Amino acid sequence: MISSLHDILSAGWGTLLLRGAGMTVFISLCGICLGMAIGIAGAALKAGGGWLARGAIGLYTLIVRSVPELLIIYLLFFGTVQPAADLADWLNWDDLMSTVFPVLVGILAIGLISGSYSVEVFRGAFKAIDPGQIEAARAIGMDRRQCLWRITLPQLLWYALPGANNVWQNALKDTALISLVGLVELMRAAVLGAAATRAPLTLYLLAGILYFLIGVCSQGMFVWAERHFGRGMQGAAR
Amino acid sequence: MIELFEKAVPVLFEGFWITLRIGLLAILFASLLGLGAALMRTSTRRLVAGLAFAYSTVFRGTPLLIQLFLLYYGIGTLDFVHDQPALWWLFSDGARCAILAIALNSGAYMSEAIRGGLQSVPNGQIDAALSCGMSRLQVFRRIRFPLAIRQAFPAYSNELVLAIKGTSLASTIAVMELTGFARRLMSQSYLIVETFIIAGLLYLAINVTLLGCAWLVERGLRIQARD
Repeated sequence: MISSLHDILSAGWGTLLLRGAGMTVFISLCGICLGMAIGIAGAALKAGGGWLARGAIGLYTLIVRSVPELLIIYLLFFGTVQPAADLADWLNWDDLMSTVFPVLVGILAIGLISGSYSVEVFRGAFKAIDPGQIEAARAIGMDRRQCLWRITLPQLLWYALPGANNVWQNALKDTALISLVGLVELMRAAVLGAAATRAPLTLYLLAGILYFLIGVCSQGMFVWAERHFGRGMQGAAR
Repeated sequence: MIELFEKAVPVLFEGFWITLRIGLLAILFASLLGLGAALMRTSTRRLVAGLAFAYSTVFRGTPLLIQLFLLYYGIGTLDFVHDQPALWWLFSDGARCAILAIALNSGAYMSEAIRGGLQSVPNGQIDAALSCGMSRLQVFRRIRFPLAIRQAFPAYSNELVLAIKGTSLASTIAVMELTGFARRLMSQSYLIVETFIIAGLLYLAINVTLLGCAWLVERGLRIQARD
């Protein structure tokens, strides 16, 4: 086991795994940014939109949350692969098809999936802000934009942090599924390495450890962020 | 359109039953595992509590897909697994591996939900039951478990949906269940959206039924509490 580990790392599979881990973090970060945007817009529409917008958001969250992530990824991939190939062919960008296309599908999939959970996270955070604070801000002469930037958003983000942490951890793990439509991230790197070295146990264990480390590091960052951005809040709560 | 339904629906239904079987068995084992791990977490023995903590942290911190591949492709390469007929029976079959992986993964999440319930039971109630002369087992059966499960049930029922969604990964180790057949239909025909809608509705049906049952159980628990 130890000697095979040394062989595997010296054959360059370690670097591929690390590069895959970088891709995993990149896809998760882009995906969750898209998801956050969907979440904030969805929460705002659910709070203040008409019945049509509320119904559409409700339907979107119901479907995405109860259908397996893998099936959603297959829909996005198989649904767009033909038009994307035609477009790449027309623009003479055939080489981009195998590299950029899976990345875009991955970001879109993670964004749509994490977005459906973010809607509830931000809806809860919106509700947690005392309306009196916004009235007070307006009363001392802030306009709507100042009120949004100085009062609503900073508190909204702090209230949303614990929920966003859960969404992030799930997004990180969901990226493993994008490997099944050809994106070379951490999981796919492990699959390739397992096939080439015939040591699947070692490769998957290494990949598992890397996923775990990314998760633990980001967990630490969320703990720090909650403490840092909540300084004023905790004082007020006491 | 009619042709599509004649072609796709029977195929997807075939996968539906396999998904249902894998899902329900996984949920059964996950619930037992989750309860066991939650009890271990509340133990006063450091080692026992630490083991359960390590289990739940590791299985919640890594993707289910990697756990599944480790069990199916990884453990299967070990020599002693080949030599033990019972182990080989378990690890040589995709569906059994999938049930094991989902049960281990989902059990880790359930143990967190149930632990919350167990910790919400006031110590005074347990002390009172013990001083009435109940044995530890009786206290668990009559006081701790009923009170804990009421508290834990909403969080537990969320995990049911996640376990059902997890069964879709069985298709990655060549088990033809609902997602496996949907994938095949999508890549063979151009019926992508149609296949997704039918498969999605079937998943929705399982989840809605499960959550409906959970709602009934939850209501039943409350009525009991009022007596």
